[in-house]
Formats: sequence, structure tokens, C-alpha cells
Amino acid sequence: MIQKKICLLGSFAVGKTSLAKRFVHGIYTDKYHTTIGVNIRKKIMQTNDCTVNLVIWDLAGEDEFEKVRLTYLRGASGYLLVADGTRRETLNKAITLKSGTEAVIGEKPFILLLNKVDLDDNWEIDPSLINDFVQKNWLVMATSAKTGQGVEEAFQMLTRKMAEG
Amino acid sequence: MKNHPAETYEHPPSEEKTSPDVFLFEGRDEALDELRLLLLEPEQKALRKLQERIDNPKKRAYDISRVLPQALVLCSSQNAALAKELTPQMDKLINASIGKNSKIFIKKLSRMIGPATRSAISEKIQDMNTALSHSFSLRGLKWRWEAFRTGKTFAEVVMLHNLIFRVEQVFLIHKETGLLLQNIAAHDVVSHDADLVSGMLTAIQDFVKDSFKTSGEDGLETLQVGELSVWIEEGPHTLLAAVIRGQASLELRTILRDVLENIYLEKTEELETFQGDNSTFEEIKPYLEICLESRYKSESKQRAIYFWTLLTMLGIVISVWIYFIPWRDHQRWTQSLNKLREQPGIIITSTEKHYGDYIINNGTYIINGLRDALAPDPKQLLTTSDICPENLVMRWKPYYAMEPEFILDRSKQVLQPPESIDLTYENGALKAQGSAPHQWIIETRILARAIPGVFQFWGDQVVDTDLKQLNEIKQQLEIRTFYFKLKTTEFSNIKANAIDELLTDVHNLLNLSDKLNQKIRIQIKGHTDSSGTELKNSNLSLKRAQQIRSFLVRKGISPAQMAVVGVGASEPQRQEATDDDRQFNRRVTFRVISKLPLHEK
Ligand SMILES: Nc1nc2c(ncn2[C@@H]2O[C@H](COP(=O)(O)OP(=O)(O)O)[C@@H](O)[C@H]2O)c(=O)[nH]1
Ligand SMILES: [Mg+2]
Repeated sequence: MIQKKICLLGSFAVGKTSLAKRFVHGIYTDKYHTTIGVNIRKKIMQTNDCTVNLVIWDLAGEDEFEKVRLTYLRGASGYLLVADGTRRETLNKAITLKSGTEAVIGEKPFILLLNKVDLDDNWEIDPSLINDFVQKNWLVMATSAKTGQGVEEAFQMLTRKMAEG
Repeated sequence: MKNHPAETYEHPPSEEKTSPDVFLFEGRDEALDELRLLLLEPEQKALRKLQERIDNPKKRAYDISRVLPQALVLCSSQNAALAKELTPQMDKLINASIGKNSKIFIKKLSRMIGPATRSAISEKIQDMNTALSHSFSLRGLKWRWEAFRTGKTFAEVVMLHNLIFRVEQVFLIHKETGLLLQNIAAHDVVSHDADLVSGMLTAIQDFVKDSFKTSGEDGLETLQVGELSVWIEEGPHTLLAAVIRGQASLELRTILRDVLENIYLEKTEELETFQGDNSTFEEIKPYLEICLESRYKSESKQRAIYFWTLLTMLGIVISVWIYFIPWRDHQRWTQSLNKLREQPGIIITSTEKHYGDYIINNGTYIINGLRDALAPDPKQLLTTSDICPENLVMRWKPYYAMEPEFILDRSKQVLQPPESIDLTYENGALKAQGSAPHQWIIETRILARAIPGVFQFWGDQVVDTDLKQLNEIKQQLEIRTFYFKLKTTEFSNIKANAIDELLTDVHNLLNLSDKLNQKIRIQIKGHTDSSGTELKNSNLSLKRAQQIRSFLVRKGISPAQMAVVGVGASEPQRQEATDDDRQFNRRVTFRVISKLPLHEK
């Protein structure tokens, strides 16, 4: 079977672990446990023409107090950059993380996820900003690990992009 | 003889051996030629052979090789000159060879080191040997017999019995991606998700290299997880990990190394170009099977004998007891019944008595009745002076006793009150006083009236400790203030543990609100002094609040439970007359907002 390693990257508490859990196990909890180091999950995906065993590395978050361990990125075929739509500063972090990542594994397929879209009364990111990313040919999707919105689609889309090479 | 011409040419025997004379017979005469051929052919042949042997280097080497060993022996037995000449040459050779093929040398050495270490250890055991030789334990003797039978030294046998292990699982992992190439498990081992194990092992390996900045292939070699250990061998593209139960011998390391090397040789190309497709690695399974080596300890069956002896003795004691019983049984029976009747919570409804022959069957006594679960165990009530429990059958149906002490005990058992609660019972009403956690109060309200015998519950006076604490912490948090330097998000004169204290408050607050099932949110409010434009101040105040939120999120507080606002200079703490006043206005404050339950039942 074809196996692919992908990574989830982003600031603390943006919802990386929740997204992975929602995608792999279909569950969501409000309890928050910081990920220490890395968590690995897997799920078998069916794309149009092949079956892929996705091995998902959920890395500990990054912020001004701690750096992501870039060695964990090695060998990844693609990644999801996660930001918390209710915290502007996590989006900036995602952008810097992207360049850090490319320095290690080169240009690989990725998608920017603006998570927690269910909390729209606290949303801190204007649509105009998203437009800027779209201009740069980034794929941007709004997701919610809580309601499941966009989660399956995001992983599907990334898998398809990796299959295209 | 002289008349026979042919005979005159006969070569004298003495001259036959001196070869130069052969050429004296030069001449063009045919007959002479023929004669020469006849006479000298064997010698010429031998001569040619000799010549050839000297000229052909291959043959010469072969010849020397046949005499060299003896020559060397001769040389070294006569003097030490040869050894002296050869030693430096040999040293050079070995050095060059190791430099070129260090891997091979290391491999060979490690093969020797394994057994060598073991033999060193077994020498140590030799000391133990002496000690053990005085011991006549069954096991000691058994091992001696084994040593005698197998021709091993006793020490070696002891050693063998101490090296008991089993390889339960083997993983072959692609190093760069952490993806699993192949794995195998002993037949009775439940193999957990091998893909995840393989990812985790790589992550750990990376972590160690990263953290301790070791170079190249110096990763982790052993991991201890409870009684399992994981041995990891690292190759150019792969990790080979073996999960071992017990104390593995060094030899296993060599096996792992060899297996890894063989796999690498067989699959070099596939490994170098690996893109995630592991189907071609099915073929290397047999290599992994080599690693699944097990060694078991056999169980001794000694215990059975003791068991049977004990049982026989018990049998004798019991049979004596049987003859001793009958004459006392009747008195005991009446006495026991009286005891049980006196006990509250126990009601005897009927009794039966079946007399036996007191030899094989010593009769049966039957008691039927009702028993409250809180009443003492009737069997415990009956002491040795009562009816023997072996002959007694008691059939109890449960019931609720209505004596006040039983109702109170029952209430305590059901409600499990904390020590701070005082429970009393009077005339059908259960009363609770004191203080207790929220959860207990809620549960008690529901449960109390379902307790048999409790018709009313008075609990309004109980103080809710959680609610009390929540309000205390709320007050404490709402007076906390963080001050900032002019135009920045940097703290000014912050107390060393101010952040930790804040975190503790927030933690406790959220825990309590969870317990109380109250939705709360912590508002983090940023402020500035009045210098600067309104827009700038509004932004700066928001940033100050965000800064605090980041700290808390970093420490594990869910961001969804906090809201940030920046109010600029609109809510000053002091009228600004001096710089000092302004300092007091550059701050972050907190408010606890209770929300109505949103999605809760
Ligand atoms: N409302 C909402 N909360 C979320 C969502 N995703 C994650 N969270 C919450 O955000 C917090 C951090 O999530 P977590 O997955 O641990 O973040 P990580 O540090 O990026 O792995 C947790 O309290 C989650 O319950 C979402 O889509 N919506
Ligand atoms: Mg996490």
C-alpha cells in the first residue's frame, strides 16, 4: 500500500490535535491537553485512483515561547498549516512556520486552515486578508474540529494534491 | 663382448650420471642421433620439465607455497630475525586494511566480543560456582546434572538459565519518513498498531539526536518500557527495532546487525528511492523471522507433592472432627437461633433440621429469614461455640430494616457524606448540616428521598464549598492587574510569580465552573494611558490583552474560554495628572463573565 506522512503545523491551541482526532476518530472534546512532542495517528484514505495510508504527525504547537522541532518534518509529503480564526496572531505564526518548513523539506503541497469557524462571533480575520493568500495561490479553507465542517474535505484535498505530485 | 659393434657404444655406467658428457656425442651421423635419442630421452624430458618449472611464475609460486610453512618454522626456530623483519610489515598491512574496510573488522570483532564477554562473565561465575557447589538445592543439583550431561561447565549452565528472553516483535522502519516497511510478531503477541509504533520510534530517535546533538548514527540503542525493552539498530536508510521481553543476550545485537545489513544489500535501490510503497518489502519477512528468537524457562513441578501431602493431613483432621460433633450439635443449634433472633436487621421466618448418621452425613440445619444488607454477617455472628457452619444452610431474603439506626446507616452508605457534613435522622426526616462540594449537594437532593425510611430531606443549610470558592477566586482575579511600560506590551515591575498566580486562579476558576456546570468566560481587558491617538491606543490595548491570553494558552488554558478586548484609554483607573498616574492606567484587568448554559441540557 502507498503510505504518506503528513504534518499538522501551527501555534499552540489552534486545534491541530482536535482536527486530527476529528478526522481520524470522528470525535471532538472540549478538554484541552497540550501536545508534548508529537502525536501520530493514521487513517486509510480512498482517492479517485488509489488507496493511501495517511500517517498524520501532529506536532506540538509553536509560539514565542517554544519552537517546533523541525526534524519531525523530515520525509513529509505534505502539510496542513493551522491557524485559529479567533486569534489574529496565530495566522502570522502560520506564515513564518511555512517558510521554516520549506527550508527543511522544500516545496510540498500544503493547505492553510482557518480553524474554529464555529466561533464566528469572535472571528478576528477579515475576508480581505484571505484574499491576499488566494492571490498568492495558497489554498485556504475554513474548518471546525468542533462541528466537523471542512475537516474531511481538507484532508481529502491534501491527499489529492500529494497524489498529483 | 668386443665383437659386437653395437655393444662398443654402450655408455659406461659411471659416465651416465655426468650430464655434460652427453654432448660428446655430437655428430651428423643418423645412427648416432638415433642412439642419442634412445639413450638420453628420459634425461631430456626431465630437464625440460625443470626448465619450465623455473620459468613459469605460477608453478614456481606453487612450489614455494609448498615449502614455505616448513621454511618459516625452520627460520623461526633457529633465530628471531625473521619475526623482527616481518612485524613492522604486518602492522602496516593491518593498518591499511582496517582503514579501508573498518566495517568488516568491526563486524568480525563484535562477533568475537560477544562470546568473549560471555566467557569473561562465566569466569566470574566460576567464583559463584564454589559457593553454589555447597548448596544442595534441587535446582543446583539439576543444573549440575545438566552440566554433566551436556559437557558444559557448571558456570555456563547457570549463565544459560539466566539469559532468558524472547523477541516479541520486530519492526523495519524507513528512517526519513518514519513509515513502516515491514513488521512481524511472535504468534501469540497482540501487535498494536505497527504504523504508529514505527512513527513514534522514529520521532523518539529524532528527538534524542536533536536534543543531545549526537552525530550520524549515534541514536538511541535501547528503550526500556516496563518489562519490555526495545533494541534499535540503525542502518543507512532504516531502523530495525526489536521488542524484547526479558534479559536478552549480546548475541542478539549481532543478529540484528546482520539482518539489517542483509536487508540493505538486498534492497539498496528500493530503500534509496522509497516513496511510500512498502509492498516490495514483503520479501524480506524471512529476515525478520530470524530475529524472533526465544528462550524460555521451564517450570518446576515440585509444588504438587507438597499440595497432596497437605491435603491428606487435612483429611485426617477432618475425620476426627466428624466423630466429635454430634453430641454437642443440638445445644448449639438452639443457642445459635437465639443469638440471631436478638440481632436487629435479621428476622428468622422458619427453621428446618435434618438429622444425619454423624459418620458420613452429620445432618443439616436450615434457617430461612430476612436480612438487611447493613446487618452483620450471620456467619460472623456465630462463633466457635455455635452450630458448625458446615452443617448450616442459611437462606436470607433481603429487606430494609426500619429501625432509625439502620435508616441513618443506610443514608450514610448511599450518600457517602464528606467529613464536614453531619447527618441526623428523626421521625422520617434526614437532615444534613455543615458544608460540602457542589456535586454532593446536587446528588444528595435527588438521592435522599429515594432511601427507604427517608420521607423528607432537609439540606438547605449546607454550604456549597465550590460556589463559595468560585466567588472568592472571582473576586481575587478581578482585582489582579498587570502594568505595562509606555507604548509597549512589556510588563513593568512585575512580581516574579504574578503570572503563575494568575494561571492558578484561572485554572481553579475554570475547574470550579466546570464542576458547578456554569458556563463562564474570562474577559481580558487591555488599557492604555491617554497619550497617543485613539486608534493607536485601541490597538495597543488589544495587544496587551492578547499578550496575556497567549501566556495562558501556552500554559494549557483553552482559548475559547477567554475573550480579549482593548478599550484604549476609555476606562482609566486614575485621573491623569502625573506620569505616575499614567503608569497606573497602562494595564490589563480581568472580569469573569457568567454565561447562561448554551448547549447544555
Ligand atoms: N470552538 C472550537 N474549539 C476548538 C476547535 N478546535 C479546537 N478547539 C479547542 O481549542 C483548544 C485547543 O485545541 P487543540 O486541538 O488541543 O490544539 P493544538 O494545540 O493545536 O493541538 C481545545 O480546547 C479545543 O477544544 C474548533 O474547531 N472549534
Ligand atoms: Mg496538540
